[in-house]
Amino acid sequence: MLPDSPDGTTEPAPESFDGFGEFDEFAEKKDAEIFDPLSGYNRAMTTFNDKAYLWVLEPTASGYAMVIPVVARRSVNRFFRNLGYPVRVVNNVLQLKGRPAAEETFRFLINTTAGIAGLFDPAQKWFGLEAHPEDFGQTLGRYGVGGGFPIVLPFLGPSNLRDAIGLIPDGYLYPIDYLDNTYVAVGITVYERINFISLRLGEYEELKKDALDLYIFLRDAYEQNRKKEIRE
Amino acid sequence: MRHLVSVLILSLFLGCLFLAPPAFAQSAGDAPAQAQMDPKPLLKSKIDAVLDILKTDMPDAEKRREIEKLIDPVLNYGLMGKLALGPENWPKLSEQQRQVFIERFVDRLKASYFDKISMYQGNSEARITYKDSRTEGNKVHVPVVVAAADSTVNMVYKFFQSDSGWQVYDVEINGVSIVQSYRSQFNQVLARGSVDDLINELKKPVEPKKTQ
Repeated sequence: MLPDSPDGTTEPAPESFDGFGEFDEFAEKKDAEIFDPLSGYNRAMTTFNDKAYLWVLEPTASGYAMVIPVVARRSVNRFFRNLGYPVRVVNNVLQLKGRPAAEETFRFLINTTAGIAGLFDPAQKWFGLEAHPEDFGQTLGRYGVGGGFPIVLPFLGPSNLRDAIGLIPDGYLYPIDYLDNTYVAVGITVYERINFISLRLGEYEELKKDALDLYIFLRDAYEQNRKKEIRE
Repeated sequence: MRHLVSVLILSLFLGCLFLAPPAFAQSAGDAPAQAQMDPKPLLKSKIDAVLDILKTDMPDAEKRREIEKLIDPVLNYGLMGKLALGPENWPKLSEQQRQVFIERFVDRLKASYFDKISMYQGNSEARITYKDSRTEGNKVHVPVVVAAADSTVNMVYKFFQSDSGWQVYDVEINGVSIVQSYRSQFNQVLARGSVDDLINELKKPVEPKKTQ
């Protein structure tokens, strides 16, 4: 199927690319203008992350998924999400989002008690209270701090200067980071990750099929997604 | 930080359309598109119809044909390809290159789209909510929320008024626009190589590719 003049409804522009003016929402700055001083490192790290995910993390998660039923894995995932409450509430407050902050608090109170330490989500089920994820990178973005330049983090994937820095204060709000034994803390973090991946097996491969250039694809998707999160 | 994973997961694009909710049981009436001021009923009728097809026992190839018949009139793949190339790059292509480009771009979109269907047709827990349409100039954007057990996906279907009624020219998944994503990548390829390189890239089978 060929595009038989899809823009026939509008008056043709003088140039040969008639109709583009109507869709100027995509007129963003070109890649050439994106400041990406670390692009060499970023590409290498993207390849590393890709292999780490496909060869280590996902196979591990898929073995784990064979042993642990999905219901249990969902509960584990909810448990860790519940622990993310301090990060979310503080960043909601910093962005003066009163109602979301209050809802997060009710969610935490209900799910920690009636939801048995967060294993279940009665706050959503019974009261329709949804989570309102916010992090420090978003808080900075909210107050006009730009992303800086792209940085691909080991294992974590695409990020940028602002959001990578934002991980530090958020880390201080995450209970797991307060465990005395570093090995235990790292072990728990890896487990959380494996559990999370086990609920999304195959999705990364599926997504990757749409990439002509994986680094650019992920970098761009990350920025678009963050822009939306910050806007909301 | 779960953003990599959230972006990845959440960006599972058109496929999310096919998370089959149990609630919809009604059939595939084609809303009279032209007359509608709001493409939302059209979108809903199409999604419902696609979900119905997925629930049948037809062989996959047949499902695919039926679904194509439903969505081809409302998805303007050609315009998506043109927009993905952008006003700066589009004039660089000869008439013949444009044809080949669009052809391959459409093949690629469709291949990716149907791969995702087959992956998602098993999911029957998702709830689909249609939000109020937003008018953006002469275009209308319809936000759709797909809530599944493990993640919620916010989609936006972007419609414009074509000669044959409302048509989709872009789909956004959690803020990630398909057209924008392809445009960034096309710019990258064209910054380093020629139009023919780009067309060759598109010809490659849709499969994992290295970053460099």
